[in-house]
Amino acid sequence: MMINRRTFLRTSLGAAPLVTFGASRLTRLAFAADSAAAADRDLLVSIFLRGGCDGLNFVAPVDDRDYIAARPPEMRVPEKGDHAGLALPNGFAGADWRVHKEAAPLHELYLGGDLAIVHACGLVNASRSHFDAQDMMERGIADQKNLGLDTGWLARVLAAIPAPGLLPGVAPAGTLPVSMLGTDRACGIADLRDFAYWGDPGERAVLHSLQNLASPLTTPSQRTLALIEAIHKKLPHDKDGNVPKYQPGKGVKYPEHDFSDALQTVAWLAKLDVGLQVAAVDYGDWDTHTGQDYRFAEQVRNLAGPLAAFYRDLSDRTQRVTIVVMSEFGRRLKANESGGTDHGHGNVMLVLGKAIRGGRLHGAWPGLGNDQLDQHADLAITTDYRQVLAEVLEKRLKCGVGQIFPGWSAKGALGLT
Amino acid sequence: MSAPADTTALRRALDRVTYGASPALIDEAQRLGWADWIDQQLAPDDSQDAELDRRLRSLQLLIEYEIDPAADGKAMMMKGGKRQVKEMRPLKYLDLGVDEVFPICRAENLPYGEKERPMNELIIGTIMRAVFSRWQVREMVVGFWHDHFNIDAEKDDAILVSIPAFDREAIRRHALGNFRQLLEAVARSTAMLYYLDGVQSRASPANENFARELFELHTLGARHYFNHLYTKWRDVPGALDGKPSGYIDQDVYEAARCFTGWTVENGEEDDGGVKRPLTGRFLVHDAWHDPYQKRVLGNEFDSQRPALEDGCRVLDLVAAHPATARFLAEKLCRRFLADAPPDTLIAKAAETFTAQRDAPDQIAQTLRTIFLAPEFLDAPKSKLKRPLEYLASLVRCGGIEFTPTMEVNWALESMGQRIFRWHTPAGHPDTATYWTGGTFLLRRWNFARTVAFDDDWKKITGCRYLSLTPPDCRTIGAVLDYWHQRLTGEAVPDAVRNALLKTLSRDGGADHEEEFRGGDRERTERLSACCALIAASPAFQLR
Repeated sequence: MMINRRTFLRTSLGAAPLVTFGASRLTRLAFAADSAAAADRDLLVSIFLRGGCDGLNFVAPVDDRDYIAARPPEMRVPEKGDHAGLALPNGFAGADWRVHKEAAPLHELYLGGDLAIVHACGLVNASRSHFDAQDMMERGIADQKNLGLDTGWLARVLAAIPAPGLLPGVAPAGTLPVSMLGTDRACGIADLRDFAYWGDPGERAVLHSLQNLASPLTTPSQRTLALIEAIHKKLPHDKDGNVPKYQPGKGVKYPEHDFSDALQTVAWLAKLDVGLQVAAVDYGDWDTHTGQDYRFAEQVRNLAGPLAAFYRDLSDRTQRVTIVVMSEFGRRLKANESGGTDHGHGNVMLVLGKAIRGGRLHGAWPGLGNDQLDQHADLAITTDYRQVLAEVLEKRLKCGVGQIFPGWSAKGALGLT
Repeated sequence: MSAPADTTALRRALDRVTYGASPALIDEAQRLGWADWIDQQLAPDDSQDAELDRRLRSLQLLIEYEIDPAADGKAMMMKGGKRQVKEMRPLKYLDLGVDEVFPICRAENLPYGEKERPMNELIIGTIMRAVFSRWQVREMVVGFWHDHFNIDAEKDDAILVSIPAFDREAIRRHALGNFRQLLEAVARSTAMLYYLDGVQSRASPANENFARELFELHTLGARHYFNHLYTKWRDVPGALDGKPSGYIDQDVYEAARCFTGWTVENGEEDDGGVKRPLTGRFLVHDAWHDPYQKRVLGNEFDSQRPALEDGCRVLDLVAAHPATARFLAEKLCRRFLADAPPDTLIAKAAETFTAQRDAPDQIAQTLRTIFLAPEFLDAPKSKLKRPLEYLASLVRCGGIEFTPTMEVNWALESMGQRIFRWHTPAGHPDTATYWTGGTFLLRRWNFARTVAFDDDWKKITGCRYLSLTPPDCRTIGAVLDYWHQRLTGEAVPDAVRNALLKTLSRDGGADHEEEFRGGDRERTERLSACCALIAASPAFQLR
């Protein structure tokens, strides 16, 4: 399947000519001091685990009696045996906290103090709908009545911080996620090597005039055209005019996976000095209503390996990187009868970065007793997801959060940074 | 009831409801008149689609995969290393019953390339129908329902093989029919039972996947999900009269219980060692059904009722709910007219949908209301074509010879459309922001060039722009006017006339009166570049 798709891209790319362009408004901006402007603010990478990642199968109090009673062993982080979870020092009091065995590369970062885990965290709204919950989180809200808010939270971040560079925001995908809705400072770039128009300079000029016609397509078209030109100037080209493959930093090896490909696009752009400030990366397929035992392990493995490689890849740059990982909701404490779990509520969030107070669990643990659960069924939420994002934004991006999360205010601090 | 004001409006309306207004289609609609043409399209006669039938029968589609004896555990049986299967085969799965194909998905040692063949044939069949079917409106409506009842065929081998039956017996059979019947055909289909895990749902706790999406995506819609407002069913306004204005999680839980036992004859062993037949057909397995009393949308269900009855009652309730009429009306208007369709049009459509609730052609009548409304006929172009609409309309309006391969599917995917392979149950987004966020948009512009210039595509898309140009178009201005009008239904905008003329001129000039001259090859080259740019322009991208 994938081979065929790539064949299409490759064969089509074979004919791609070198891109040479005159300066447009955007390209002139590109020559501003992109890297200098970006350096005193971290690169924020926001990773969304779509489908509802089962936080209780990821990071859990493995000796908790309610936990053990609610699920068969293959849907828990077990205490012992071949699949025993990896111990997490500095967990919440009163329990043996562990992370899923397949998260070993992240466990290492936790022990090294770079990775913080926030548990019982999430969207304080009773929605168990994927699409509603994702939509609210990506817009930085917690209420359906605000769904009319027509910008994403990352789009508002890009408006709030100085972002003079060529490409302040990116999603390594064919398009932008809702979190970047309503900004002209971000673009979806699936593959840098394929981010080129194939027409000759004459055709390119005509394409420009066509996209200048007033229509619903004018804005995205002009933005995309300008970016194609400017980014290609930044990319290396071999003697045939083709863009060579990305080379990760020394000693860094990304595991083979689509998620790795996406992260490498971000890493490459970060190193190209295009003024990148914010990236939004999706990783899907977490909706484990069935087959959770093998599916979840694979999901965690393909999250942890690529993420740790990406973190190392960007570790020696002047501009630091802070990564947050979230999902729309956790899953039901009690397993269903078909080898899976249904939509739940509270969940884990991960925060990774040199300046993060890692190596510990943050937040407050509500417990898993029936009366402690949300609607007597799901992990309760003690930390609003925006608390986590706000601390990162304020400290690492020097960005006030009043406009980012309208109508929300912090209740205390986790002390993440 | 209204009619298009002039030929431009007629052309625009045709582009909205079809995969592209070819010259022949425009003639046909002009001859019949808009209302009669719509009525004919809404009552398609499958025996009258000869060209499509002929092309589907004669199409050969490549199947290509490698057998690795080591990986298949057949090393002992096969001599030598990897074996390559690479051959052209006709389409054979489109008309087969689910029982004829289902055993394939459970055949051990059968390579994946064979198991995914039914899905691949359906993908190609869908592309062929979009381009060649005479019943263009139905094809557009079928596309709508496939997103509404989205299924990712790659989720399970059982879906790979049963997706043609889903397309034929659930979606196509009822696409223009009655919504309640469509809903049940979907709910009982092998493909949906696998996609939303109904196949495994048993008491207790039930698997909630299908029940949740039934409310949220298939019927009432997320706007009527009131879980943030109420935690008890009796608090939802109207619930005590059996007419709640929306639903909450308690309805999802209860509906999930109603569907326990709706499963598939998939050859698996049930408790007690009894093996199910391997037919892939719908199976009601009462032993898995949660037998106790339930309450869905304020309606009481007695205990110990059969699984089929419980599930069908849920379908009755959601299909008849006023929120469903509104939700579907809005989605239909959004798909056919604009990202933000006018409320008045949505209201009219919902009214017809509700009034015709029991009619066998409820959906066709709802569409008729939309297509004949002045809001529909008078609105300017604003809806971005989906990649398949873009491809098919380019082929149809441009008179391009077309023989699809799987390469076409990868091209559509590269622009963001994954036919039968979209992962999440909401289906593709239906607003332009999804298709225009960067790379997807860029690839549209490149795609127009691929069709005309890419060597690998010469056998897929045969462009005949030069031979189709009328002989009396002698100047570059006349050639440009002809092709812009033919592709977009509109005159060349003044602001881009000179730029487009230059692509046709021998020396880069922009004189309307310059003779269109040069050898065939040279003129073909220039005309192809010009048409590729027209195809990339808003006038062609929008409908």
